Amino acid sequence: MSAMMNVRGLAKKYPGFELKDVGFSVEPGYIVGFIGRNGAGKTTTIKSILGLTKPDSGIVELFGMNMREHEIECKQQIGIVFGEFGYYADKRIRSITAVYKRFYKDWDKKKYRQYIEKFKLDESKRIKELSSGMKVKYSLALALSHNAKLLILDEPTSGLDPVSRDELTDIFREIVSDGEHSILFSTHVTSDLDKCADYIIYIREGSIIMQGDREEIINGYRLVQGRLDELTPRLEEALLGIKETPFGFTGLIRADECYLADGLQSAKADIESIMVYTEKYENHEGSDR
Amino acid sequence: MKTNTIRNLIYKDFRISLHPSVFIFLILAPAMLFIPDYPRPIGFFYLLIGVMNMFTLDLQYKDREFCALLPARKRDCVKARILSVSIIELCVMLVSVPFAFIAHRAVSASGAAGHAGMHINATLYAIVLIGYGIFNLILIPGGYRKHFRVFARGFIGMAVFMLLTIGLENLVCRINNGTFFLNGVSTSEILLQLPFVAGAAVFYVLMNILTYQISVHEFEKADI
Repeated sequence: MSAMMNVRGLAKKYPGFELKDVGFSVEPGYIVGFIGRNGAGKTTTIKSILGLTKPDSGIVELFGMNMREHEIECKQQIGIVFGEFGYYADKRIRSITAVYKRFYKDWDKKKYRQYIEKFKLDESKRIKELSSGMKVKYSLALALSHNAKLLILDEPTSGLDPVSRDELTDIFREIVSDGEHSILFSTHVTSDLDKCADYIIYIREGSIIMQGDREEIINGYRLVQGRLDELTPRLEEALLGIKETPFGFTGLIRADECYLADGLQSAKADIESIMVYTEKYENHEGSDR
Repeated sequence: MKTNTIRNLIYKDFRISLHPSVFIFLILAPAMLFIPDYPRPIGFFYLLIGVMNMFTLDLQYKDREFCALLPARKRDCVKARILSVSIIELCVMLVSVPFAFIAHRAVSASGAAGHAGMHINATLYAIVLIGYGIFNLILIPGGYRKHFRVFARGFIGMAVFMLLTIGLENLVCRINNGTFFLNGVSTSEILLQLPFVAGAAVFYVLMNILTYQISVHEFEKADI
């Protein structure tokens, strides 16, 4: 089956920030985690994909159709969530849903009811009366109720408590389990991706610096730990990021170079440690390799 | 599908985007026709505050962002909004027609009618249509610019509406000392005024088409 989303050469220049040649695909049945620091370009990428921001160049294809030429058809098949629902603060949930559902030919009233009950949303409440978490849940209820094939979620779990986040990651897994739905999921909460993502796209300063199968990425790195006197020049050069303390060091190393840390403690890396060591404790000697 | 999208966007405007003041001003315009010796277009002027409020609410409600998430193109959102504004403007004019008849009779019967303003007739509606068309052209594109420019444009638009419509009203009143057929109220005079109403309607439509084109151009450029 062809990709649900295909992004090629997406570029956008702002004063002080540039999105450079962003390209990736989202395959059916996949949950794709889109990670990066604040300001790395995640939201700009998503907005450029959706046409909210006009990219300087690049092609976005959804379901095999050019997004710019078939915007309505494409948007019918996608569910979009930009964090918490921040629109029409004075209006009641019931009124907004009445408006929203008219735009979707596959609006599923039963499914919407299920999510409203599951998320314990009171339809008579005004948006401004909802907590941040409830606003996110309402956004999700809308996005999940029109049988979208592709969900594009920008920080969907921010503001949610751990139980709701866990509930949500279960829902995400359930959605993609039929192999016909996909989710592009941008987040800072990388632990959510450890639970549910199949594929990771890592953006840094406007460029995709890493993308691939989550397991392969995680298995491709190790965290090594030792005393400072055990940090040999060769090892230091191989480390992609080092965190030094008066008692020792911890560093991120590529799994195939782990032999350089023989005798030292090493552990499997996770998405968060890969991101933190790449961003915060970047070893400039090592990073040029 | 496109027609449905426009219809749904108009429904959105009337269900959740409309400022409550629009309803107040909808009633105010016909009511003000009963005030003797009052500049006639002013009653219709107040609706512009309601229309401007609708756009300022967009900023507060993040209407542009909400619309951009829906299966609708930016140009559809602009078209629907211009149609919504036109519906409101035409609605206030239509609602005022029966009141205009009653007001004309009531003011004439009371003997309070002087020469401060024009008579309540078809020309008044032609003048208001011209004013509304120009106001829309000034205000609406500001709501779709990258940097929202509704407040300044709204006030400029209202000032232009006021100057233009009162200027035209004065012109109508001054020709032949107010006896010119455009200021008349007899059936024959009103029939003669109808082509001017038709011309003003064409002008209004052309202004709205221009408003649409400029607004779409602005909205396509804007990053939401």
